[in-house]
Amino acid sequence: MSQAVLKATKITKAPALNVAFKPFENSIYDIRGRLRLLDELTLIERALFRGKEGTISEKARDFTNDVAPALFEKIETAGLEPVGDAKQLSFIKELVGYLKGLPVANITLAFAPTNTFVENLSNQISTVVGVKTLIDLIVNEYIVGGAVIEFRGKVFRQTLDIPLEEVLRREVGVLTK
Amino acid sequence: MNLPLYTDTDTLITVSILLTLFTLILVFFVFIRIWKVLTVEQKLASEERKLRQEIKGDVEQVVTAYIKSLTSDSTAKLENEVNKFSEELGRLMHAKSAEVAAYIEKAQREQIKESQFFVANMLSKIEKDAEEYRKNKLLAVDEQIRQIVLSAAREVIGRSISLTEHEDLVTKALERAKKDKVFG
Repeated sequence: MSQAVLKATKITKAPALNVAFKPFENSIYDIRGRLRLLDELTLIERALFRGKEGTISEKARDFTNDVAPALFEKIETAGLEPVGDAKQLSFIKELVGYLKGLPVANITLAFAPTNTFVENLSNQISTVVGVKTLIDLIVNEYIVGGAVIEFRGKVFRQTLDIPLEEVLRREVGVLTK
Repeated sequence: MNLPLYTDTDTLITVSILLTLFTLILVFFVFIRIWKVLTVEQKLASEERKLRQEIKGDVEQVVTAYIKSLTSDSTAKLENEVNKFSEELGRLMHAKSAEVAAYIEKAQREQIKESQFFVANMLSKIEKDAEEYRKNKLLAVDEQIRQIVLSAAREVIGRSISLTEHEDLVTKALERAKKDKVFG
């Protein structure tokens, strides 16, 4: 889906849809999670128009047993899911567009964090930004500690490698002279 | 007088015979004269040849003597000229050799001077290059040592930081980023 369509989706999205997308949005916190969910949604799209009747979760059971059917069940319980193949397909397409349009913060760390920590980061950033923000994580031991954060073209760096290098250069310089 | 006929005829014959004899004698004498002339002529020719040969021998002798005299004169003159030339050449060579020796000496002095200058320049350049090379090498070694120490320090410090400390550092960085309005 193109960028223009994604923006249009965000702007014209009805409040009901916004609520319906929330469980999906909350289930992911980084781009790997979004990719997995998008793959699942692609599989679920194929489950439509197969002559089956019922909700998306029922139709999707034969194709995937991952998190997506459970998420669909949640919105089905709340009565937020449309009925009929065509409307369900439209719903899924809008959901995919919405998920693809979520902002991403690139964060470089010196260690491999726990999922909880990444989720925590995503939540903190999302609170500041005002919309769900996903994390694109890069592990680079060269920075020693701290983080490099890049968001919408802005770059913030607070790492240990620079001060450490300054100190070591000074000390090593003294040693080798 | 009347002569008998036979007498006339006889006389005629006799006269004829006499005339013939006379003619023959004349011819004989003419022949002898011619023979003598021829003999004299031959003798003259022989003598002429002899004389020619004698003259030729004399002329040869004279010419040889003349040439000898001439040659002996020329040889003497030539020897004289050669001696003079040799003397002149010797004098000239002596003068020139002195000049050449002086030139060579001068050239040698200049060459030595230039060589000394060249060597001094080269030495200075080599010293400069060596100094530069030494400095560059030291800088490279310095940089290598720094890199090794930095790499080792990074690794040691990186390992020595616990997961909680890492998380704290990231949280602090995030707080700072929020203050710096990185997220708008």
